[in-house]
Amino acid sequence: MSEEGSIDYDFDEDEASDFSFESDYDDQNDNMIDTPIESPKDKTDISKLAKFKKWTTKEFINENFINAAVKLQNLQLPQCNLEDLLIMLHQLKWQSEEVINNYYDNYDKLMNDCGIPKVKNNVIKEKLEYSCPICCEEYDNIKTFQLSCGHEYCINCYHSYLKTQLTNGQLIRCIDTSCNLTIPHLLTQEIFDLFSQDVRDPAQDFFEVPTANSKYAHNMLLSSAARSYINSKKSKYKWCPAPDCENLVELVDNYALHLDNDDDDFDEYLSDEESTLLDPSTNNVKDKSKSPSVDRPIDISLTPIVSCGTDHQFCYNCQYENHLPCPCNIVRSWIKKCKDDSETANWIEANTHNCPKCLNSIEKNGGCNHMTCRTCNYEFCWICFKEWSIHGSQFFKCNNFDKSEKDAIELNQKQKRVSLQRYLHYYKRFAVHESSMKGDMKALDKINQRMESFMSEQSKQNLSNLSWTDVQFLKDAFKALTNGRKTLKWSYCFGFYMKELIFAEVFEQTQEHLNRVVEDLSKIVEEINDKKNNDRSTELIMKNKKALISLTNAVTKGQQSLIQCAESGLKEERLKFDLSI
Amino acid sequence: MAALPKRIIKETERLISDPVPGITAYPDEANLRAFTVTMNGPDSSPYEKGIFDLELYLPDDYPMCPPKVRFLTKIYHPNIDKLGRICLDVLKDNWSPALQIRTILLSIQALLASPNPDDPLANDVADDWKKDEPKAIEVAKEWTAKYAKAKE
Repeated sequence: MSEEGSIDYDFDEDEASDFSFESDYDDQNDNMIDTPIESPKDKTDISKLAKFKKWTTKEFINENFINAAVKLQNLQLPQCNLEDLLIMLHQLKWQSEEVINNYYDNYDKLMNDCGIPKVKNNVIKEKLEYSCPICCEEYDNIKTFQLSCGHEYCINCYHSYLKTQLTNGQLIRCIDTSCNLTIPHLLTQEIFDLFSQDVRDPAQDFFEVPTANSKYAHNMLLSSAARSYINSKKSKYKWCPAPDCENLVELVDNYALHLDNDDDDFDEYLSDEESTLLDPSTNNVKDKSKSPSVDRPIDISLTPIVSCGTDHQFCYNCQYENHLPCPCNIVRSWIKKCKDDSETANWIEANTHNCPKCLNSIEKNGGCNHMTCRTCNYEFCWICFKEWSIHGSQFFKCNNFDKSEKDAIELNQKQKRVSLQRYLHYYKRFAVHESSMKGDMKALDKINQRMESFMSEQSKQNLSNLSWTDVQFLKDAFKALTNGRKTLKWSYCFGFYMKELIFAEVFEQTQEHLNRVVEDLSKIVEEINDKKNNDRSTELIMKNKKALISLTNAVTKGQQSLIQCAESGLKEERLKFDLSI
Repeated sequence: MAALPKRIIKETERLISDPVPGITAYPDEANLRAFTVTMNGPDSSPYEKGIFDLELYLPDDYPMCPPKVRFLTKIYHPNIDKLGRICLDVLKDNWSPALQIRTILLSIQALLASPNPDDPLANDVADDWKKDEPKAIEVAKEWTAKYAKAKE
């Protein structure tokens, strides 16, 4: 498969690497399918405007917390131990300079605030007889814990205490209210580990040379501190919005800002104005002094789509999944509209009919087909929607069904409901792709599992020399399919707000093409997963390998074309939005 | 209902056998985690001679979480709102399992003796308090006489 078929997949998944934004539709010199648009030469890349860095929570803790402490120890404060430095950093919100300043200017206060005693004597004891002042239980055989202050409590109480304290991300102090001593990070984890179910393999610890980072791996207090730290800096860090994903993306540099504000404090600006400055749809990226002009063309290539360490693409600005080809402002109004309207509209659509005369919505919740409209008193038949009087005495039979007349009535209804219908048209397609995406994911998961067991079976019996790279195409198909569906989904949101210009037809054709290849790919996946083909699924996978690869390519290209079509159309103002819909 | 933790039993026993002066606290028969509390207004405070009713509830994770306490008697105080909710650090962030029902009740009594209008819960009361303290104290006295009378 060709290189350009992959979309941002070439990031090293194991390392937090600097990356510039790489849009997934860069390769415009390829043969575009069904797209009669030339690639614009003056394409602006978002990497000129901002730079992002991706993190997993673990990497974030390692770099910003643990390595910060190690660095302090190595360079400025070698007299301190790592535990104390971590406490000082934690207390001073992870600002190394603050730690150094306070250490030299105000040592006693710093130690007091941090709850670090001069002489340390933290002990977990085994006691044969102990009565705990917190739970008031009398134990025969129990572990107790005390910090250097000697305030001793049973380990059960300490464990519960730590669990409740963990949520706020702050340093945890001695239970005694008059005592300010801090429980060091390693000790908190040691107490948690006493209660933990999963036993770590001692062999692993044996072979692993303990480093600062490995000692603090899985430290729950540091994780909780990271969460509260990241949440407190919302403009600089954004969590990946994908479910269960613990990765985040950092806005390292906002060049758009620097262009205008060379002398200003970067951070200060970020907090207030970052959202609008990074929002291409407001069009004031480079010119924030002027109010955003409505008439300026929208450039969706400026949408800050970023990718987290596990390849989930999302818009940094909206903290929402990759919504291209839609610009951020369109997404916002669509989401709001869907929240407001969709439930009600769906219900009305499914459960009511209009009165043929006054077009009020009527729900028939029982009774015969002789209807009387409560609003206009018009009497009509629920089956043919014609005046009741022409039915004569035939109460339960309606012979007056006339296709053309019924169509006329429906046409009339449609005209009256045009805006609702229009919305539902796009919303249904939007929703269908969303739910199909979930279905596809499940199907592909299954296929992947089967493939894995097949591979291990084969290698056990030395039957084949297939390697994992040979089945990489499955993974690629999976990504192409979900990404294709996502783009399609948002293209219907795009379509809803799109003005009816001539170029819209080109957009719709491109959309249709993507629709077709996505469905083709989805069909193969479905077929492989069909229960009827349970025994020969691996056979089917290998048989369809060629088709899968070419469809994967076609989907990826189709997706690129669609986004590119939207992008150039908007830029050249051949496509326009109407937000008043 | 799960068995009552030893801690709660011990605290209850001590509250009854060795009550805090000016405070009574009895558990409900139906629910031993719910207490009916009466508190005398501290001497030389606007609440002097008043007897205030409170309710106190020990949540499931007590003593890891603080008890929930609320005034039932109407009271004019900048840190207690219309619904009787109390703004007190030890009932929130500064709670520690080393504290007890009796220490909490004593803290509330101390709050009556020294209102803190700079950290208000009832904004209107706190405003009055800051603008015209003698007048606010008068109102508090009136309310005490009106709502917190000793029962005969």
